[in-house]
Amino acid sequence: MVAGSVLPRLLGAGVRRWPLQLHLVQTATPGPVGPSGRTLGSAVTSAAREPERSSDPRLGSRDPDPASSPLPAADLNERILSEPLKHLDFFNVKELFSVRSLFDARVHLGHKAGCRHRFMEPYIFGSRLDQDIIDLEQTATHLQLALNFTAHMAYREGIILFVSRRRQFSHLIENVARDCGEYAHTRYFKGGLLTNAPLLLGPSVRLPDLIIFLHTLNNVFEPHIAVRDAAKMNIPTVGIVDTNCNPSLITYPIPGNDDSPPAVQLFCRLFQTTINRAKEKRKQVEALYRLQGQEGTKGRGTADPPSPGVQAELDLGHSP
Amino acid sequence: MAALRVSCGAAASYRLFLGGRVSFARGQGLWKAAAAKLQRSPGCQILRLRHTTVVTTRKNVAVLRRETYTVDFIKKQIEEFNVGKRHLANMMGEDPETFTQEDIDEQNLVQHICCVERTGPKRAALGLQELPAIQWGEDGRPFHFLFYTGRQSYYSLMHEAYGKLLDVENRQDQLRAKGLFSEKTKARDPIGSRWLIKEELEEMLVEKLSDQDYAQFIRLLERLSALPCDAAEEEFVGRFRRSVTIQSKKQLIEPLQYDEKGNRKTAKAKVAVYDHGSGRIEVNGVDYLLYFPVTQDRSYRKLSVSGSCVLKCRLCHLCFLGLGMGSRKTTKTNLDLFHSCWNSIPVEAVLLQIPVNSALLSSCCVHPHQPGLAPLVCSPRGGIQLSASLEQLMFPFHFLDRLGEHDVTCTVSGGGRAAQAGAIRLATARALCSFVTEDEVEWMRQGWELLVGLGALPLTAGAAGPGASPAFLRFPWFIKASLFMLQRDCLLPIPVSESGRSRARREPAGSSPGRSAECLGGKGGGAVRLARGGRAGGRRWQGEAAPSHLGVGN
Repeated sequence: MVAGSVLPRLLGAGVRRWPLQLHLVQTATPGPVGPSGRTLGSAVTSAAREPERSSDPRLGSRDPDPASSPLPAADLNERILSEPLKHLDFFNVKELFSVRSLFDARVHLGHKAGCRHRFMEPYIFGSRLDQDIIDLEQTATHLQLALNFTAHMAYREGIILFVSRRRQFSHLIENVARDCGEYAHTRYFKGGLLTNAPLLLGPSVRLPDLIIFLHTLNNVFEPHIAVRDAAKMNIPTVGIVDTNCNPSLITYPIPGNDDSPPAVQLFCRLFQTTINRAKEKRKQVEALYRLQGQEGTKGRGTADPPSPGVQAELDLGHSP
Repeated sequence: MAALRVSCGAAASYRLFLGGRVSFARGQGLWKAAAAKLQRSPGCQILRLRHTTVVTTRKNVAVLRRETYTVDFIKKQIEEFNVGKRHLANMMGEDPETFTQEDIDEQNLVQHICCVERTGPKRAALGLQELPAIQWGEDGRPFHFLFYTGRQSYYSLMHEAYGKLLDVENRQDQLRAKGLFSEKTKARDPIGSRWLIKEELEEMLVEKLSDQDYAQFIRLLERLSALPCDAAEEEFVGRFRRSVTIQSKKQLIEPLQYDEKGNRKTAKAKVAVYDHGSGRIEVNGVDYLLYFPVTQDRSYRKLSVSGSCVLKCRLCHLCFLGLGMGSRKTTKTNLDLFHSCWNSIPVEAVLLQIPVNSALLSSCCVHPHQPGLAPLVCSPRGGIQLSASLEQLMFPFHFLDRLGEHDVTCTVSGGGRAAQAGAIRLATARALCSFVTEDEVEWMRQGWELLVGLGALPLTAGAAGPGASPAFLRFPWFIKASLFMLQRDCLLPIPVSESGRSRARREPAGSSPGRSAECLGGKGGGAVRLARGGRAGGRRWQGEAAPSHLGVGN
């Protein structure tokens, strides 16, 4: 499959058209369920498990009363969260890699043609001496999407879990996770860890909001259980899929080599950089808006449109 | 497949964005409307499925209580409280009218402790188990980066240990690259420290471990400690070693006291051990062989020997190999026991001249000056019996490889023969403590413990457990020796010649009391037949005369 036909559809998964429609919907009355419709509504909200809702408990997100006006803080936070979504590559993850760097890290090397998974055929450029070569153009695209998604998740203070079952890289991945302040699971995956979490991990535990698979297969060359369980629990996944892996259940697959140490180290480095970058950006933006908010309440009153200065600050450091 | 992914992706990012919008107060209304809108659009079945999933995992209790505290609300709460109070009183069997706040508090406490309090003395007082403390912060993010594995302490320990191993290896590689690498072998003190046991590790980590996990961890630590470590790594490994309290130090070993007392059952023995002796043991003024006659304790350690045989043996009362050969007509037979011992006990030849037709010890004469007498008696049926009591007496000496070096004088009273034997053994062991170094003592003790643990030695003297074969027969070197002999299937002839005997006798006399290990088989010796039990159980061979130069002296 040519990258060109895939690309627009994938890129169209962005967030350009929806906001307008949402604005229209917002002014309408809430659905037939009414203010006490916390049952289905809250179920719906918690079904999606958005990270920002748990990270901003001070927001009145569960208040069913439509009459109350949003507080300035909520407005500010809403702006913090919405601002990155208006740009295609807010965190500029494209600059972190290039097709050349992927090639140098041997990301394009797949397994032998006999190991090929049927669903990976679109991503394979060709086969040389019976070894599959992955199309790095597509890889670059998918990688950009995946890193962008990861960055957004990290920006919104989501819990990111690195999963792999390759003992060769287990130590490296755990170090990477620890260094960016996220979590790792490169050990034996207990059965109901995600699906039966209240029992195994604690009564009111918070599940990961994103799972990143450095290796999609486990030690017996079967798909890792967490792929299926994450899909069951509606947890989005990012995964590096080799030519013998099944990319179907993974939300943001990255076709690439997961066996060579340089390739795995490159991916680890990329994920670490994006997550750190996103968290830095979050801190900056929060500080900025807090400053803005203080000035606003002192001088001019409640909700103010963001000044052009702020917009310029946001524009700095990234090129959309 | 691509289409599938697109809609997934669309849904994911759509949810993200919706989430951003949802932060307003009219959250659910927005969702409902949006869901309705989506359902109307054609190709979005997957999205509809998502929206109707009910997944409630996060119950941030503090967050859910966002109701405004209006007067009506408060009144309603008061009513509910009163109703609940009466209900509680009814449940507890109390009178609803007089159910005071204190009672409520008490009941609340109980339920609170059951449900909310995870650890503490109150839980223990109620007989409830402790739950681990909450391991995440206010925002729900866990504190430890390995929280989602389920066993964070154990895995973080493994991670740390492996990290240290990698560091050491890197350092070695660097040294090797610079050419400064030197092979340094580390000798960890074999006595004095041991690895943590599984229970101690579980206690340290506050987590349940399985045996495989424990074994894996210990293997990793051993691998780490085998490499040349830095001070930091040594300290890390040292955290998981416990010093073995050298209990023998606790015994007051007075320096030059050779007299010792021993008690066993109701027998009391007092023993005086003299250095530079020749292995003579006197009990109550009588030679020990006479004092503990074989006929009195029917020991199971009986090897049957057929016919006349010349056996050379060195005292190892734990084992001996006998040769049997020839006809049974052995009236004047010199029995030499060949003995092979794979450890460092020097094998000396001892000649016993025991008239076969006498089973009484009184008619048995043992060469007085030979070190390491074999307490053997040959019964007319052809069995050689080893007295259990005599073994016990010899045991301390044997263990310390000092079989022929000490003279012992003991007085014993009370109990039966076996008990007296045990008492004497205890006393001799205690007395011998003065002669040996501390390390040796500790080694003795640990060795004994090890052998007992392995099941090679009985826990109490004379005991072998139900259905167990005699301990010495289970010793690997014994088995090896006998198997070797059987394999070679060559039998030692009777060395009748005087020269042979004297040569054999001379050899051990000249041998140093050093600890030289040697084996009978290695010297090209013949096979030694081993026959257990009496006539019924034993296997018989027709043998040849054993050349005496196969004497095993060094």
